[in-house]
Amino acid sequence: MSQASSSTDTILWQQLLAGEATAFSKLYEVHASTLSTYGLKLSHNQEIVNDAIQDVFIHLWQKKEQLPEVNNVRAYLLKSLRNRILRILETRNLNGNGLQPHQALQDSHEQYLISEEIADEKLLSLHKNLKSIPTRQKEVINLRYFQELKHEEIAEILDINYQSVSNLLYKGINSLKKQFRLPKR
Amino acid sequence: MQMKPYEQYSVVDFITDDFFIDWVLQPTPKHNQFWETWTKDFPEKLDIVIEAKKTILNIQTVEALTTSSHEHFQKNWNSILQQTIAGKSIKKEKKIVPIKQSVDWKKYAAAATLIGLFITIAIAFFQPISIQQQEVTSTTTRMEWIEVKNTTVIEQIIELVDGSTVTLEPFSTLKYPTQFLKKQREVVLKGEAFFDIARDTSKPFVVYANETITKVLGTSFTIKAFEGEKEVEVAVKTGKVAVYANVNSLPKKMIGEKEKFVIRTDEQIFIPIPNKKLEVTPNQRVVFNKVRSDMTKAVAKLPLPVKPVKQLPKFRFIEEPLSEVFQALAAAYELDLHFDETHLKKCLITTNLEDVSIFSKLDIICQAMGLTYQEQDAVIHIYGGDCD
Repeated sequence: MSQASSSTDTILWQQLLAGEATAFSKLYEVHASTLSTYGLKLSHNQEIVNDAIQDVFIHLWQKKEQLPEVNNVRAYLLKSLRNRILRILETRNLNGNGLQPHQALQDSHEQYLISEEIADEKLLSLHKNLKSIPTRQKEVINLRYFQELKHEEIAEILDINYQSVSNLLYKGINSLKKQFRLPKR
Repeated sequence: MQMKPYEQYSVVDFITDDFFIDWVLQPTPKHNQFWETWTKDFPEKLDIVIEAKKTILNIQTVEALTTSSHEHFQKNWNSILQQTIAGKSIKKEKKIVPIKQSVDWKKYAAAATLIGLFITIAIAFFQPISIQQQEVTSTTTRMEWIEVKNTTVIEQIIELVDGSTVTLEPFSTLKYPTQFLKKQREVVLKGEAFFDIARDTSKPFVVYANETITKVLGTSFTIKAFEGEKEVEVAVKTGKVAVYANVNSLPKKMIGEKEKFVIRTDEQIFIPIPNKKLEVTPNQRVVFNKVRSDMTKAVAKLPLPVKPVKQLPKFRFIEEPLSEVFQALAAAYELDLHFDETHLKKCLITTNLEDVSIFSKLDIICQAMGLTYQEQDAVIHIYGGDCD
């Protein structure tokens, strides 16, 4: 995230804490898209994601005076969203046999098949490899390269420590090793 | 600056390195400078660097593709509003700031398979395809794609259904359909080929080659796009072409906010990046540098006269003003020549410039008149000289 947008976020956050409705609506405008994209990654159920996003923002407004000071608004929101979605999945008990939330995440990942839509061989094989690595590693890869978050932010969202993030990232990328093509001259 | 032993890094090490990731996803001039220099100092590591960079970008693309993204901004917002602000009255504002639906490229990426960059066609020839966000979807008729790989050591000529010919160089592959059923004629190239395209103003011809997309109506040009090489090149022989960089060669942040239009083939979706396009005319070429992810224009390696021989001016001059000579050259080769008119006003030249290449012609003139010339971005600047 660029310097400029994160300082805008900080300003908006301060204004939100002070009770300004325009800041609240601006925060939604700025972050809704990212949240939606990330949410759909966690649970491919549009309804759940919409509910979760609404919950996050309603909660934000209702508890605005008690909100903490945050360094990275986006990471905070992503974390809130993740927690909400996990909670919803748990409540709805989608898989029906009382699995732990992170396992529910894994299931919803796998149900989503888009393989038929990727015609490029390299991307297809990358997609297949990514699908087959452990969920935690998948998540870290998504947050690092797609959401472009830093290690500290990822650690906060997933509620693990910095070193774990690095380890998961390395392990995940390492399992993709088999598909690297290094042409010989 | 960076003291890490990058020479010892494996592909995995690069992909997980913060400084490297930052360069790929959010490059700054400092980043570019460092990596440009480093790959020059360690050329044997170039393959690894490019593979690592590509992988990171591919991960982004795959992640985008595997995320369905139907935003329900307004719907969600209305619901949020009702349960928060709208309940209370607010003195200052009459209504809440309306939500702008920002165009998220991921939305298009998600619906698509691959994203590519697009090079536009010269404006004179080409009707702008559409306004923002208009999607041109592939027709329902299944086209058959043929893939030809040249495994010989001489060039192979392929004739396409519209009469265009493609001269395929060794070690190159062309993928083309048996019929051009869509609104565009599209082919995919890996390697090098010379294209002689039949003119059809109703159906632009598009070549997808690695990091570039070239679009024309009916012209001839060469594309060089080999996997292992650092550069992709498009060189124009006749007519005008527009070249866009391929979207999946750039980090998504570098993509402009508003995509003009989306074009979809059976296999790929291409979103042109408005501010990353170059128009190329004969005797010019576009070079796409994979390490820097940028495109530059340059003069062709061997510029040839563009007009047929009969229409060429004579290249013999007797006491001819220099400005006339330069204008004749610029016209014959369709090159951009810049020189100082006032300075060279009084200069006359007597010379025979026939039967030598354009650069030799320039050399002869400059040597005779005490001038120098320099090429920059496909423009040739002429300096010096004083004929008083």
